[in-house]
Amino acid sequence: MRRTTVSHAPLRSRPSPLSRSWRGARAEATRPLLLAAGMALLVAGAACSGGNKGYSARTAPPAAAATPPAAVQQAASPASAPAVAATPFAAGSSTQAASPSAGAATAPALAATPAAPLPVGIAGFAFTPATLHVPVGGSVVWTNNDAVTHTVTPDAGGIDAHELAPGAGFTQTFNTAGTFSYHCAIHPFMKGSIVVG
Amino acid sequence: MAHATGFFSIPPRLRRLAAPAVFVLFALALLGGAGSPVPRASAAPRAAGPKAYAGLFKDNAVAVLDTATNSVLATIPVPAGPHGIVASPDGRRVYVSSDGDSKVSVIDTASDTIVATIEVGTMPHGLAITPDGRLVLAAVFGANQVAFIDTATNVVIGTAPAGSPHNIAITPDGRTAYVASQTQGQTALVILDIVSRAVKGSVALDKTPRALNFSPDGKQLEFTLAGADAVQVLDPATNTIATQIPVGASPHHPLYLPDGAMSLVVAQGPGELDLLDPAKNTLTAKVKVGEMPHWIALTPDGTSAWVTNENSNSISVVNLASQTVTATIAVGNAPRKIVILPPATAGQSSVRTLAATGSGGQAGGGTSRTLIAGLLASAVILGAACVLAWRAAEER
Repeated sequence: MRRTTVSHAPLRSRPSPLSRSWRGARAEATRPLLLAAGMALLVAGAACSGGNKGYSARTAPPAAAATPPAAVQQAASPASAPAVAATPFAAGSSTQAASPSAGAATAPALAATPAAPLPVGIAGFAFTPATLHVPVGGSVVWTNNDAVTHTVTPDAGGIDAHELAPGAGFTQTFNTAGTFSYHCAIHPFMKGSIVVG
Repeated sequence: MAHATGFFSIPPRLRRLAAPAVFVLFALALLGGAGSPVPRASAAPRAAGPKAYAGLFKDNAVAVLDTATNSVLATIPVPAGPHGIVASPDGRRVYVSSDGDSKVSVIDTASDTIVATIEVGTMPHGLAITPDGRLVLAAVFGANQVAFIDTATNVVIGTAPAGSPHNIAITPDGRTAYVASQTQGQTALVILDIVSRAVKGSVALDKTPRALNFSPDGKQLEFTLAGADAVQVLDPATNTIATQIPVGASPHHPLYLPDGAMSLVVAQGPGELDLLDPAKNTLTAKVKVGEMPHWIALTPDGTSAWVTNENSNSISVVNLASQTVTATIAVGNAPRKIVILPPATAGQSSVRTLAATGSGGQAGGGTSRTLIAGLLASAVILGAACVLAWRAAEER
């Protein structure tokens, strides 16, 4: 309110000489002048409000959250799956993963069926097993059995980053041989690796 | 254009008056519009109560809150992954480590700006400050060491070895630091002599230590372990675990009240603040807060606990007497560590506010200067436009 009073004082002193001076002026002539003055004031107004960086910073929209992309269930490549499933290693792997899968009984009979993903459990702030071997084209399913959120975050690459709420899981297929190390970004002492090939 | 048509239908005598009148009204409207955000902006940084600082892990920023009004005053950008936060005992500085970087940022709490940045090594996690405020200890997770920062010069004056250090607690006498060491297979509390920066000892653990704090008398150290749903109570005289207090799943930050009669811990699984009796080593109450509670800060009077909820993006204000949540404050993404400035700063803050108000409320502060500059600029432009209009009219 005090501010408005201040701004009134100089402005009120102007109308009377102004109105006298404008006597006889044609309206057509005042229009471009009004426009120019209006634009000048707009610039002044913008300069005035533009100084409030603190306010705009405070209400600044949150930076893009580092939320990982939605879980993508990657299917095993059909081209590589038959060859892999035929190897004795893959057969052993599929047996290991048989318990959680209801349809696992048919897996050994059908060589073309992709092997069931191998599980990595997350419990007690640890990845179990910490190191898992999978054949090329094999899949891994991570399941968070802890009471807190964990992440599967690659140290370098080869594994999609995922944030897993309690009870959540995700599956990833590995089509390239190599060792892929990962950790939990929230609890970086939690480490694991997938050895492919 | 519609208003232009109306304009020309006005009788000539009124029309002459109308042009300057519209001009003046337009100018007033502009000045009013430009001025309106200013009071909000200038009022925001001045806290009515002690300020709280919460690290927003996914926003790479620190939120500044007013504990009197439960409102967010400002957001300060910091390097990636704000992790540890501590305040100096005089409340003038807040130190923030960034675990996606290698820096500790120093915030001046009067201006809420970063006044210094200290290189400490890769992935700094938790911070601790000595009771006299002279040293800040940074757990440099990626460098397997604790960095000692001289707060007078903001320089790292030395380091001490500790494997994958996560959080640090300093004894009330300021002489010893206990460091939660998370090296897998060698998890331990590493004990450091703060003056000599030498390793004094170690308490081997079968699980990974998370967060830890001393009782005000220094006779107990409460800490949590990943995968153990109980608060561990260590006797620092013997460095053995005296007892365990079963609490909610996945306990994280334990904190004693200043009088030592109560301690608190967040249970991340159920999302609750658990209240403990350190004399009896029992759980006395549970208060439901948000999802994945991470850290606790106490108001200087010890009546309320501020709990960050990492997965709810909020802070729960818990009244410890009534054991109820009195407010839930939305903050940015993934709030983790939080600190509330000590009472000294609350006083300084009020003095500052009073001083600014006493001097007319317009003379100080950058925002009021901006307002005055804006008003002057508008007046000058308005005056110039009027003179031009006058001359143009005279010529015709």
